[in-house]
Amino acid sequence: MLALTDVSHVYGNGTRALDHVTLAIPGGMFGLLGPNGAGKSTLMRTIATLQTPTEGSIRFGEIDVIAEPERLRRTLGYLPQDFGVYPRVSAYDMLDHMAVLKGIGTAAERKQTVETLLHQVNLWSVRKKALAGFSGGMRQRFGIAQALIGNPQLIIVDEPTAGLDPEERNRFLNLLAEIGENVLVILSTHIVEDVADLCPRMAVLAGGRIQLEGAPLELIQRTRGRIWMKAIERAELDSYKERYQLISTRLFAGRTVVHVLSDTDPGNGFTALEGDLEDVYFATLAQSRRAA
Amino acid sequence: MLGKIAAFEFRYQIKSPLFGAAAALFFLGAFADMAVAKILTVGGGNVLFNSPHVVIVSHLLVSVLFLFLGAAFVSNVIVRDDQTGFGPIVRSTRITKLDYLFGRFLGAFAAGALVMAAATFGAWLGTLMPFANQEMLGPNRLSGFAYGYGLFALPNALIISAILFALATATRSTAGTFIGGVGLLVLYFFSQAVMKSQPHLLGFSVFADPFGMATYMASSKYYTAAELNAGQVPVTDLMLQSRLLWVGVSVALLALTYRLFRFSERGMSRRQRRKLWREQAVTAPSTAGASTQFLRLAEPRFDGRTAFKQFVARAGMEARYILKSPVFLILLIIAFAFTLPGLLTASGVLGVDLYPLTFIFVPIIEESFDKILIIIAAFYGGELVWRERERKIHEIVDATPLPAWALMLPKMLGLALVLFATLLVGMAVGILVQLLKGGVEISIGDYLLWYLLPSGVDALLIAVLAVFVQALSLSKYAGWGIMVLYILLLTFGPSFGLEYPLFLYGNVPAVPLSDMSGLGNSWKAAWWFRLFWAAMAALLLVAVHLLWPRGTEQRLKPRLRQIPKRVSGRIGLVTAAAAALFVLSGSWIVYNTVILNDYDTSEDTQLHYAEYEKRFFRYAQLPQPLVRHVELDVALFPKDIRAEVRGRYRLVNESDSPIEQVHVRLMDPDLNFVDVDLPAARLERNDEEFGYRIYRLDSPMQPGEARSLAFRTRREQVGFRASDTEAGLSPEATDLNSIELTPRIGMSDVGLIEDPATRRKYGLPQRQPLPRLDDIVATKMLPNGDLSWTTADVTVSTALDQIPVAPGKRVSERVQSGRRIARFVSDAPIKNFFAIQSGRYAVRRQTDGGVEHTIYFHPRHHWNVDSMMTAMRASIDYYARAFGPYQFDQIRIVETPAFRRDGGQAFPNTIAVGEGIFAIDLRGSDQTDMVTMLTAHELSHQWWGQQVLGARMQGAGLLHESLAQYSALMVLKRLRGEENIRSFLQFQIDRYLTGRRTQVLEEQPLVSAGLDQDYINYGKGALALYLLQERIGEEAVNRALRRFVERYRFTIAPYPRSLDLIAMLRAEAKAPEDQALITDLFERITLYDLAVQQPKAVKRADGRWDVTVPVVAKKFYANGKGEEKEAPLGDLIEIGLFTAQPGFGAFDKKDVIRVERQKVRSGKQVFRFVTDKKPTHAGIDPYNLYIDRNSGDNAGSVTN
Repeated sequence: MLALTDVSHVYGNGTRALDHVTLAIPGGMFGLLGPNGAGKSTLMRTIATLQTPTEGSIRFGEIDVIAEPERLRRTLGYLPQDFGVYPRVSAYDMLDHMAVLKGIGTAAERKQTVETLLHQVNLWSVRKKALAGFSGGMRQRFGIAQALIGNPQLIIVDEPTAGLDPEERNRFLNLLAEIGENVLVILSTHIVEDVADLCPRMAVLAGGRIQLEGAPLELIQRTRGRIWMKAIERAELDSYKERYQLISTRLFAGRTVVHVLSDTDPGNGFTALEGDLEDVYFATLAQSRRAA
Repeated sequence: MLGKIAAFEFRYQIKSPLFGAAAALFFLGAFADMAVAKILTVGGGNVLFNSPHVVIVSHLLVSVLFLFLGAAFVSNVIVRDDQTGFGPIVRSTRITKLDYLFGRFLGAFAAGALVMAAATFGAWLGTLMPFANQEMLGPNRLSGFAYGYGLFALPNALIISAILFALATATRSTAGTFIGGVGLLVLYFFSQAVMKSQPHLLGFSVFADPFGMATYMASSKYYTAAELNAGQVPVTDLMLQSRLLWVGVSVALLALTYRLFRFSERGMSRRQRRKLWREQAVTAPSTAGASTQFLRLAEPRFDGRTAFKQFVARAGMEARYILKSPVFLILLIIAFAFTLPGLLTASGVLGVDLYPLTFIFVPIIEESFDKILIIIAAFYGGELVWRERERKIHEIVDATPLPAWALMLPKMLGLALVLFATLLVGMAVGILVQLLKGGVEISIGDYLLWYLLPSGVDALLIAVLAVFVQALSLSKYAGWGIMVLYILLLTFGPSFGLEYPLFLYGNVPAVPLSDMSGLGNSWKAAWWFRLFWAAMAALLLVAVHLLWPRGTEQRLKPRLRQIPKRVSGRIGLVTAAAAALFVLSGSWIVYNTVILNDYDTSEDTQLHYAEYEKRFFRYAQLPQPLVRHVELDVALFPKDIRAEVRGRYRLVNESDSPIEQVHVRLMDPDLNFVDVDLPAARLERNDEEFGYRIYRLDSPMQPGEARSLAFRTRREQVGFRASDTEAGLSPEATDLNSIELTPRIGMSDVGLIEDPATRRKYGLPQRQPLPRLDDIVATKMLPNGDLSWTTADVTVSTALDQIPVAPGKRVSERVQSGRRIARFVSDAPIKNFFAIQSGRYAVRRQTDGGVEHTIYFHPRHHWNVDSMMTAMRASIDYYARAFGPYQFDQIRIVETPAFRRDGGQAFPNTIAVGEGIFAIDLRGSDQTDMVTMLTAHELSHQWWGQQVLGARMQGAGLLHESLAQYSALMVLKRLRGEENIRSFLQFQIDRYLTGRRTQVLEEQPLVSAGLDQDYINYGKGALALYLLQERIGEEAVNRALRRFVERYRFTIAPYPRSLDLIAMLRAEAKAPEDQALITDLFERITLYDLAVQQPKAVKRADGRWDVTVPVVAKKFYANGKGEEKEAPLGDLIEIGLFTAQPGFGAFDKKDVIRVERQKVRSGKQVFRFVTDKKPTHAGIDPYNLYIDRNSGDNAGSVTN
């Protein structure tokens, strides 16, 4: 159980990256959805003990994360959004090194851990190659491998699927799904599908605030009957923007398809839509923008 | 297009931090050198700091530094596109190869030229500063800056850039360019050194000098200060042509580079392909593996064992990172390149090779590697602290359960490992050269104690500081900047009042090395200081631990806030322990160096002597009794660094007036009175601070009356000192002289401040000049304070395992209560200035002609003992026959530690010789036999100084040092033949002519030279007397010297003058030319310019050869400032015909066809000979006996 209470963070230049975030995450996969710049990484780093919030408290089970970061780190697996590697170090050596850092002291245990993980993330065949030459997907798989060392109870993965091709992404999500069965995994992403596919619970973060929280299915239920769709010409877009509460636009076969949020039938050729998580997300963002 | 690219490149380069740093460094360096403290003392003596010569030399040095900088600038031009991956974009544009290559080259070259100009500007600005040393600044002359920049710095920038550009194109790597550059430099110094020893290659070596440095240095060598200050620029036409040639070569190199450069990406080498295979986007199947089942992984454990493992793993990672980085390799190569020549040419005070002893090597290695160590510590301190953040791996690492100390300490340890590895490389170079040269035992233990441990700790201290600075710094560059400031402070701080070592972090008193006494007495102080700094370093590390930037927070304030959370019991304990150690060791150091002992800055020392002079110099003219007999009991306690002296002087009034006061004083501040007893006298003044006592006699001493003075003194070092550590008395070796052990009678000007500027600073009147030759009163003064003739009875006791040595006959030796006691009696007169030694010597002894010859030496320094013994016997034999009898029954040579003296010093029947002379390596066949030379020189002082004592006035050096040089030359001639003498004379000519440049006082002729004008007394004296004996004969000169000794042997006032010797020499000179030569050699400053011009040999009908030798001869008289006037020459000078280049290589007597003394006058003249054999070489003064600044043109090859 991870509990965040009133967590705020203000950067040196005055940016309020987190604004009274309160969250309670029981376990399993938890998706944190938000656009770029919403404060996701700040929140992830804060939970991962990499920065101390300006105010608020964070607890993970028994552990007061802010007071005793060392205790959390002993049971934490963290995959940052963007990470580099040491030059001239192979995947095996680096993973071995990380295993030492994570407290796997004996050589035999380390060998077992490293080899299991390399097999697990399918990097066994390239274990002797330098990490610096890995493709994005391979690098992410290495990243998750290192996060899994030592059976952490809390795993934080920050935007892990960005830049992966569909196959890599699938593979990666499968891996996460396996892990998520046993421990708490926080998956931060700006890709709705990631959350939709994987997470029994989720939250939307925008502008440093939690805009929405719940189980995806439940949230979709809530918007049922409020999402409407219409295909229009490009030139009409501006006038639609003025008249309706537009939540998303996308191109389909040369025409512009708009989704709008409305409690009643807006008429004018709009058809009702069985909303999906994406609509929920965009609706939330649209609302938060309006509020701001 | 070319212009635009060049302009872009120029802008790009000058915006790089490297440019900023380099320009700032060059500017500040040149500015500080001119205005603050002269770092590059290239002129020497009275040569003005802004004279064209000094400005040119600074530019030359700067342009050699540019070699390293240019490598970075120029290689960047070539390597940049490949490194950034921007290359394909650039190359696919319409740009042509020419524009691309030369546009960039021009831009980079312009940036380099601008960096050089920063130095020019800095130097010029420095001359304008009001706080600059105005006395050493003359008018700014454009010529210096114009030649310096225009003829040397700028062309060098072009030449270096072109060479490096070619290298960079060929290697396509920065490291490759650097290594090539270093290789070039090493090759340059090596080739120039080789050519220097081949004077006939002079013209060639000028052309073969791409930087113009070696040839400029050679051509400017003999210019005097007056000439250089008057704005003369020693630039020859040949040099100008050479510069043009090299500019041409660099243009050709650029053209070649253009040909070689491939626009398309070039094929990869096999190594690169392999590397690529290893690193490049490898692919792994991304389909699910066989095991979708999740295996249970090992559980982490957090105990001491794991922590240790983590620590080791981190430290290994950090060390590997540095060891594998190319910069580290480059730094090592640079250190290597600078150390190796130093070690290979390790030479002593006389410029001769030395055996590769560890104590000689360690300082050389230190000098090259210490700077590299500091750079590695400072540079990698920044790299390591910032590495995780720069590589963006900090989030992963910082989120692991690694304890905070296991993040920071391993960086320290990794750095320490690398520094230690660097030290090991230094040691390996040393051992390698030792093995290469052979002849010495290799002692790893010495390296460990003398080098690895002290230097390792010192480097570590700097590493801690670097990590501390970087951990607190907001950027790596700011941290580096602070480290640069620190290094500057470390270098220049001491000259700005931060002399006391505790003022500057990491500062440790120096420890001079010696085989005889190991680390001497200084090591204790050094290690206490290290302990103190280590405690401080521990505190810094605690601060680093508390403030370590873990996670993504960079700002200092939040990090300060997190301190309380990081404080733990263990941290508290470490802090308390370190703080306690800091306070305790600091107090102990202050107690020892300031309270128990005095710490004297150089200013304190000057102040001491200034005050001494102010209080007591007024007594210098007061008549004082002479010491006629000395009884001494010297008890040495080497382990305690203590000497207890009981003594008694028999004082005699040798003047013609009654003496009312007796002045008893200690000249050495480390010596203290225990008691003085002068019966029938009242202690009128007792200046305890200066150890100066004035006794008023109850009844004046009448002329001829004798009294007895008893005294007790003590010399002791209690605890340790940070300055003036006892060097004469150490547990392993003792070497103390009378001044260091006993009181002196009467005041003199010996040892007072001489430098005019310092005297002004402390309000002292201008120094009384040395008495002139016509000052007859001065001949009545005692030559050096109270150094008159005395007899002595000296008992020395010392540790049981040491051998005591004192002047005179060893009349008894016994062991009593665990101490060795020996008594020495001198019946023949000696000066009241002698030495007492004690040590664990090996002894070589021979008796020859009733004289016992003994050499006391360090058991491992046995190489030259036989040569010394031979020289000693030959010297005594020759001098006794030539100059008069030897006054003692024994003669001794005693080896003394290297830091005590580097040459030799003559005491009554004892010669103290430094380790550096025992270590001279004479195995090379071309070595001048300096062992014989030095032994013979010092032994002759048993006549010149120990039998005949010259008055303390002008020309005294002629009577002591010039005669000793002459005597030694005669012994050397007998033992080694004339060939060995020639190289020695060359050495003396160089010494004299170079000395004229660096002199501070006006030059004097030999007859009136000052006491410290060694270049005249030793250098010119040797040449003058040698030429004279060639002219009038060795026998004639020796007859004069014998008469001189007979007349003045053991006399007291009036003491002889140089004029008295000249008169006796003149009595032996028969021809008017010889009289004129004596005038020119001794009484004037005379320079000759003798040259041969294309001698010819034509075959005659009878098969013999008609040889014509055209000669141009000139003679100059110079004044004291070095300004010359031509004078008519009319002398008998040797003209010679040879079948080999005279004086070089395997030249010997069989190569001489004919050498005749001919009347030579000023100007051009031709000498004709008829010979049986065809000569190949001919010359005037072929053996360079006359003082000629250009000795290379005296002989030349004969054409048909």
